[in-house]
Amino acid sequence: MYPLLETLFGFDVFMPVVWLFLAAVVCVSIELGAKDRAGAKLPIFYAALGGVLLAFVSLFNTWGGAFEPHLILNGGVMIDRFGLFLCAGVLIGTALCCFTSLGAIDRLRIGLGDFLGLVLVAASGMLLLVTSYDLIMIFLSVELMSLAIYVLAGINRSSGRSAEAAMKYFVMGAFASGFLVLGMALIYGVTQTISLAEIGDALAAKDNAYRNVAMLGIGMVVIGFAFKVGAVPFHQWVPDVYTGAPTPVTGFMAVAVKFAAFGALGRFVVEAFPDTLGGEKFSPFGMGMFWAIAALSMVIGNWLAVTQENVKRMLAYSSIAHSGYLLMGIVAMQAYPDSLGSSDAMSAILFYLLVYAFGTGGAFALLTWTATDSNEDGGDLRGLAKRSPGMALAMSIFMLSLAGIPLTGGFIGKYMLFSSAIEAGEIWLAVIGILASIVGAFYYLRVIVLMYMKDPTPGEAEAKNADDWGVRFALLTASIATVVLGLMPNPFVARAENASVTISAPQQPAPVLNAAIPAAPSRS
Amino acid sequence: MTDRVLNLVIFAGVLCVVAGGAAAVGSLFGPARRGKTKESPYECGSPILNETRKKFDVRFFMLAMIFILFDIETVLLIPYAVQYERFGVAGLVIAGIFFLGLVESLIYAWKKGALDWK
Repeated sequence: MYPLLETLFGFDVFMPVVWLFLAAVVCVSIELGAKDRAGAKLPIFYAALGGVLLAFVSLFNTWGGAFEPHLILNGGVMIDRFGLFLCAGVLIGTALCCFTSLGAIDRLRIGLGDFLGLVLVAASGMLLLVTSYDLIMIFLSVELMSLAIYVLAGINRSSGRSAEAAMKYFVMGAFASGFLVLGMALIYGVTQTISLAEIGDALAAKDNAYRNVAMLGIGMVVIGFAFKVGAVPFHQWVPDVYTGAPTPVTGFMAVAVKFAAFGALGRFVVEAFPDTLGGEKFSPFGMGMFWAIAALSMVIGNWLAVTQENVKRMLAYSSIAHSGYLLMGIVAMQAYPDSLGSSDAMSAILFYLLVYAFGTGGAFALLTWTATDSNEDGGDLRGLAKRSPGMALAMSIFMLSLAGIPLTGGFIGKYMLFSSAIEAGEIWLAVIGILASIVGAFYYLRVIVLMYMKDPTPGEAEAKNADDWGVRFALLTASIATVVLGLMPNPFVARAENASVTISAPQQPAPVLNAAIPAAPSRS
Repeated sequence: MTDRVLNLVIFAGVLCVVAGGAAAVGSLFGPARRGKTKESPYECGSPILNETRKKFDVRFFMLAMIFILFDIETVLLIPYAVQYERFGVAGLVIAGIFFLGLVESLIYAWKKGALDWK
């Protein structure tokens, strides 16, 4: 994959992670060496962006060319198109966060280097999470991602709500990690393997008593992930944390964490769930669990979002609802009798994640832009169209996309998800989802009404961030991407399909590519 | 299946009976001579000086935290040190990148004044 490195070391490294990590080190170094904080901002920003771009370039290098899925790091990390697609999504979220934090950092009274260093470390954990192929790698990368994000949530040290958000997120996250690691221990105890590919086969060879223990473990792992994606009934932390955390961090959490957690959950479900178990594709226990979580998330997320007055809090509930739509895709994936249909559902999930990333990332970027010292949530969008029409247009595009109105990416994404659910036979879940998203359309459209049909609040001056080019660039990119995804989705859908075929198709055991490392000497 | 589950239930039951019984017998029949010395936290150690719940300097906290962090990083380096011949140059580079992060964090703590004792 990386000829230079391979010839140098005879060793295949997952370079994007290394680039992000090195960029994080550089960011912190510049911050430490700088005389004044303001002057160091731009170099730090370019260093972070450079790391993200280099990571992106090496992703593209890996994607193109003759490409076979292969395992590296002694089977710990799987390099396949599924992982690479999700990595690209995580990097998009990271880049959006870099741009939006450029201006917002002044309100946080902290150096940009510290901030972006943490963001990049979290992003490198996410890249590892979506490519990890054994239980230990999954756990380690979840922790690498989460620890950095706990700190990021509380990085506004002068705000009590930010500290509260960090505390809540940390306690709930530690709780979820406990579930995750106990589930993994149970799975390992039964199957004697940590590799995802071998878990299913090992379970097929066991009798029912063992399988039940393993199902308990699998259920716990799923609960751990449900915490991370904020699905009902594990969603209580989401509104407070999303509202309390600084807005660029909230955008990062909503976009990149969701990409990473859904990627890992999808891979875990596809690779590890025993489709050989008693000849059936999936055990009824796990199926019912996903069904219930998906339906509850869609209904409760949308329902509670309607009553919110604060736009940031409304977007938090909306992200719960979107977790529900995505979980519906996972239900559809398992309900299909054949692997071809499963890969359709998986590509719908991937495409929806991409659309959601631009929609939600853009919406939080706009809230960063409208935020003032007195109103950090940026909630007052009343009459925004009169104050700054361009911004109001961008926000309208994001809201329409999140609501799933045609001509935006959200429509195509919802169409793919719902049609895959219906084709899989999950009619009732699709009906619940469609009804819930009608409720959803109400509160998204209410934002547009607020911006276009109300007069600005007297005294609400022109936003001070008017010349913040970072946020402007993020908003421009996100809104163009949302429209492009809606008008010509084909290249992106094709890539998502390409990515999901490699994971859902029945495959040969992937080769482990680190021939340079001889096997460990066996000790008796 | 039932055999194994039954074994587990019996095992758990015996466990509870033995553990609970031992504790109950001890508290029922054991001599209880209560007194000031007997109830002090360190019965046969040095006498306590004052309450533990009092304010302490944040410097101790910072130092303890930095100690724990670098202690754990050392634990992560030990498996590599044991097996380093297997990994060759590539392993050296990877461990080097890891070590770079470690050094960076030490410099960070230093520059931010976490190591100053004044």
